[in-house]
Amino acid sequence: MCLALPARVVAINGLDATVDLGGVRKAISIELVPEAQVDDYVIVHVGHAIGMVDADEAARTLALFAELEASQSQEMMPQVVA
Amino acid sequence: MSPLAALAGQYVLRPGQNPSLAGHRPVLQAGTLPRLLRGQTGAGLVRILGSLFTLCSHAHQRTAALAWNAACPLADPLPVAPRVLLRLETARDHLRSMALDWPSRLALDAQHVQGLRLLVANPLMSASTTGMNSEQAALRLTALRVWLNDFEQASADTAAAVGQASPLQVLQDWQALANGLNPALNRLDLLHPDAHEQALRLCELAQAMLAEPDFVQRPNWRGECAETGAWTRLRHRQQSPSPFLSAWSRLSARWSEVQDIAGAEPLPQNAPQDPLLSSGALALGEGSAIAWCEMARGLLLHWVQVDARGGVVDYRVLAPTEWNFHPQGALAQSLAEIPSDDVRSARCLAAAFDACVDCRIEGVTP
Repeated sequence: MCLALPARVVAINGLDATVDLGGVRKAISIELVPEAQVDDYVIVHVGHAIGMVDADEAARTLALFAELEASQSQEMMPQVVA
Repeated sequence: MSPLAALAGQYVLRPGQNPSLAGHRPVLQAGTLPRLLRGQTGAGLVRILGSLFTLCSHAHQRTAALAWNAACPLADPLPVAPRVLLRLETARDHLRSMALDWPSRLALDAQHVQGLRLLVANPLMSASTTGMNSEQAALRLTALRVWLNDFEQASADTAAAVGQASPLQVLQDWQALANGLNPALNRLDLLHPDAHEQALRLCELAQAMLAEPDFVQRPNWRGECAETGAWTRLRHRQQSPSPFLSAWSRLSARWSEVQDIAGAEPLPQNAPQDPLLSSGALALGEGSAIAWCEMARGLLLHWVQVDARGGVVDYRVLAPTEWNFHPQGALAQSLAEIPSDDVRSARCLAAAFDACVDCRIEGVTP
């Protein structure tokens, strides 16, 4: 994915992990960031965690995406003509 | 898919059909990014664009800082990462693409996936580049050169057994097919060896970008679709005829570029330009500028308009994927010409043009 959505690690089994990505659970590999722990935030690309972000940065980024999503929903709402 | 993930978008490729390509990236939809960025000042702009994108975060940060500095020449300039970091990040993006994207794009079997996964051990893969200086980046690239030599030597020793002398040899089953796919080549040639000519072209593109609200999602250059990638760099411009005509040559251009970067002479600390990967900015008028950066997937462009108080009024991002996955572009035309059940060729073309988002192929069973 081109967007850097922070995903929260919710379970780890060796180098396999489960993350919560915007409310959706996904199985990923943490081979490239083996230091990741439960509750850490990672950036996922094609099923691999490729980087980590701290909790504050993750919160800021998720807020940005929420703003983007809201902005888009607003754009797609039908215009009311008086 | 969560609503947030849906912002990234998806492309659907339909071999042998018309239209052969559908989809877009909602995040780049007209007005979406400008609304988010409106009122931001330089540092906030760079931080936001760096936070939004995964693989090309470094390129967005560089291009945003360059655009801002050119648009606000009287303000304190924003720091721009050393050029050698662009080399490092580009090589890393290529290696990541080969190791992680090719297996899924090409639906490779376990043995082939294992061959490509050997690339994961390269010394750039896990390196954090945050705060990395020129010397540290240069050392990493030296380590890459040594690793590539060892990799090729070790692989060559066992090539007879596993056929892995390079990631390209892992794909040798695909080579004949990919060599037979020859999308018409129309290189995006905005960058030019002559600075004056380049400035004229960038001005012309900026005007076209502002004239059409959806330009960044359906770009054209002088009315025609064009493509961009490792094979369309400014440094390849003089090569005529182009060696990059088939899907195979477009795929292998990435591995060639990794070798070019690893083997290149070190860049002087404050080199004004990099002969391998061009980046820079052009002021267009009061508070306005366009900036560019040759990154792994091709040419990235940012345009900015800043008001007198130093806040963003308008912002456009024109990324490589929108050129390469244009519904009338070379990929779309090539897809339309293959049989509707030829999913393998469609996969090969998708990997050659390398979208930064998910691609789904809808073949028709005969």
